[in-house]
Amino acid sequence: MSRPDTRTDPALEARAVSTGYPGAPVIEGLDLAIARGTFTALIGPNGCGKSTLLRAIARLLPLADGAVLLDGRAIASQSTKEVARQVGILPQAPEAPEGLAVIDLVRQGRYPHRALFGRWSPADGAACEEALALTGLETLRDRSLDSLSGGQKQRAWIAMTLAQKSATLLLDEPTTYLDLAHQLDVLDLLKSLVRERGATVVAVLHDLNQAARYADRIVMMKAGEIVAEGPPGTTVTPEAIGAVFGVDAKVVANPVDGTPLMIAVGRLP
Amino acid sequence: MKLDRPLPAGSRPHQTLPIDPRAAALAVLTAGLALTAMWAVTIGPTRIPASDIIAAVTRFDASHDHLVIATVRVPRVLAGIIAGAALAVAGAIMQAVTNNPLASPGLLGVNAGASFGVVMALTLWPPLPTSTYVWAAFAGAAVAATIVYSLGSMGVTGATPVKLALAGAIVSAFVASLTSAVLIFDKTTLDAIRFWSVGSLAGRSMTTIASVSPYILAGLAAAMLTRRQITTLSLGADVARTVGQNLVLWRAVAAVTVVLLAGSAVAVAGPIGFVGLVVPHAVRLLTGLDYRWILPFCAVGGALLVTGSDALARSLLPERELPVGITMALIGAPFFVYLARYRIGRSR
Repeated sequence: MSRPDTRTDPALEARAVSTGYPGAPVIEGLDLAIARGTFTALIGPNGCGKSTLLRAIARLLPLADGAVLLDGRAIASQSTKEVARQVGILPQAPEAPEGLAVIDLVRQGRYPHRALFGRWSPADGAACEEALALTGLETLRDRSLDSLSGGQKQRAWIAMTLAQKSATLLLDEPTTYLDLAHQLDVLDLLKSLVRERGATVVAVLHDLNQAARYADRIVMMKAGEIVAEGPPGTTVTPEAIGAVFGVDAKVVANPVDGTPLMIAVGRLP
Repeated sequence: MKLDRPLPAGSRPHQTLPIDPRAAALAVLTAGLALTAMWAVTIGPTRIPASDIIAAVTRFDASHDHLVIATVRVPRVLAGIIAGAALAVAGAIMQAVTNNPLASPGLLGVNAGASFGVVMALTLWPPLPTSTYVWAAFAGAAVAATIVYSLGSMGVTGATPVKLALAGAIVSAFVASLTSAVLIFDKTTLDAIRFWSVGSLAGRSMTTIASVSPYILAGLAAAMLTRRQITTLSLGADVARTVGQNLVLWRAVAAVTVVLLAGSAVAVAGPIGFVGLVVPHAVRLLTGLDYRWILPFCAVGGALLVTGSDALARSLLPERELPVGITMALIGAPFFVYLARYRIGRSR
C-alpha cells in the first residue's frame, strides 16, 4: 500500500495565517502544511512565535486573518467537539485540580465522543485502558496527579489526549519541565505513535538535537516567520542555526543514527 | 512505554462493588434528612409527638395541633429544605465554574444582589406576592453576578480566586448598603422583612413555598442534567479546551442555573450565608472531585444543614426566634477561617 502524497494531502494546513495578541501581532501571513503521518518539531528562540503558531492552529488563539484547514476543511467552520475528535491538544504546563486521579483525567478524553446525555460505553472504557497502557500508567491509574513525578504527570496528560483517539496531536513544549530520562520517554512515545499508528504529531521542542533525532520534519522560526522547513538533514545546518538563534554552530553526523548533531561554539558577533 | 504491550491479563477495567459506596452514603444522608425534618416539625412552643405529624398528613382533622403543623411547622421545614438544597448546589456550581474554592452565592455577591432586588420590589410596589418578587430576586442576582465576574476578571491574569473574592466582597458591601439605605426610609417594609433580611425560615406560608418551588426544582434538574459538563468545567480551562468543551455555552448555562437557584432561595428565605460555601467543601471530602456525585450530595447536605441548624436553634432557645442566617454564620465563619488557613493556601 503506497502512502498518500503528503504534499497534496496535508493533515493540517495554515493558509496566510495572521495572529497574535491584542495590539501585538506575532505572526503575519504565514503558510505551513503539516504532512500526514509525520512528526514535526517547531523550533526557534523564545518569542519567535512557535507557541503562538501552535495555539493558533489548535484554535486556542483566534486568527486575525487567514485560515487553518483540517483535512482540507476550515477549522473555524467546525464545532469544538468535532475538532477535538480529530485533534488532541496539550497546552504548555497544563493544570488540573489537586487530588484528581489519573483515570479521571484520562476519562475526560472521551468528552468529544459522548452525546449530551450519552452513557459511558464499552468503547469509552477500552479507549481509556489503551491510553493508560500506551503511556505505561496502568499501575498509577488511581493515584492523584499531584502525587506523580513531572514525567508521569505529563504522560497522564498525553494519555488523556490519546483517549480522545484523534489522529493529530499538537503539543506545546511537552518536554520542557522534565528531566532527561522523562524527556526521552515522552519523545519515544510520540515517535511510536507516528510510526505504529500513523498519527500526525506537531510539537514545540527546545532541544534542537532531540528534534533532529526524533522529528521527521523541522520547522525553524524566527520573529514570526519560517526560516527553514524540511527534514532534519536539510534544515539543521550551521547557516540556519546562525540565522535563527544567532549562534555559531558546527553540525556533524550523529554517531548513533547519522542524524545531524549540533554543537554550539559560541554566539555570533 | 511501548506500543505493542498488551493489556495485562486479568486487569479488569472496573471492579465494581454490587452497590457504589457513594450511592449508599447518599441514601443514608437522605434518610438523615427525613428524620431531621420529622424532628424539626415536632419542635416549637407546643411539643407535638411524631405520631401526630403522620396523623396530620393521613387524617387531617383541623385540630389546633394539626393546623400548627400544616400552616407553621411544615412550611418552615420545607423552606429550609429547598433553600438549603438550592444554595448548596449553587455554591458547588460556582466553585466548579470559576475553579475557585472561595466561590459561593454569599461571598460573590449573588445573595446580596437578589436581596436588593426583593427589597426594591417590595418598596416600590407593596404588597407583592412571592411569585412576582422572585423575578426581582433573579434580576438582582444576575446583575450582581455579572458585575462581580466582570470586576474579578479584569487584568491579564483573568478571574483568579482572590480577585473574584475581593470583587464579591466589594459588590456585597455596596449592595448591602443600598439595601439598608432603602430600608431606613421605609419602616413598613423593614418591619415586614426584618427577619427575612438576615436569612430566616420563620413565617413562610405554604403559598410562598409553592410559588418558589418550581424554580428551585427546575434549577436542581438543570444542575443534575448538566453535572457531567460541570465536572469537565471544574477541571479548568486547559482540560475543557483540549477535549473540545464549548466553554462559553456551558459557563452561561451554569450561570443561569446559579441565578435560578440562589435567586429563588433568597426569595423564600433571605440571604442565608455560608451554606453555599461550607456544604460543597464538606461534600468533596467525602466524594472526591466528581460533580456527578458532588451535586446530589450538596442538595441533600444543604437541606440537612439548614433544616438541622434551624431546628437545633429552636430547640436550644425555645423563647427566642433566632434567624437561621445567624445560626449559619455561627457555624460557617469558623469553617471559613479553617478553609482560608489550611485548604486555599495549599492550592495557590
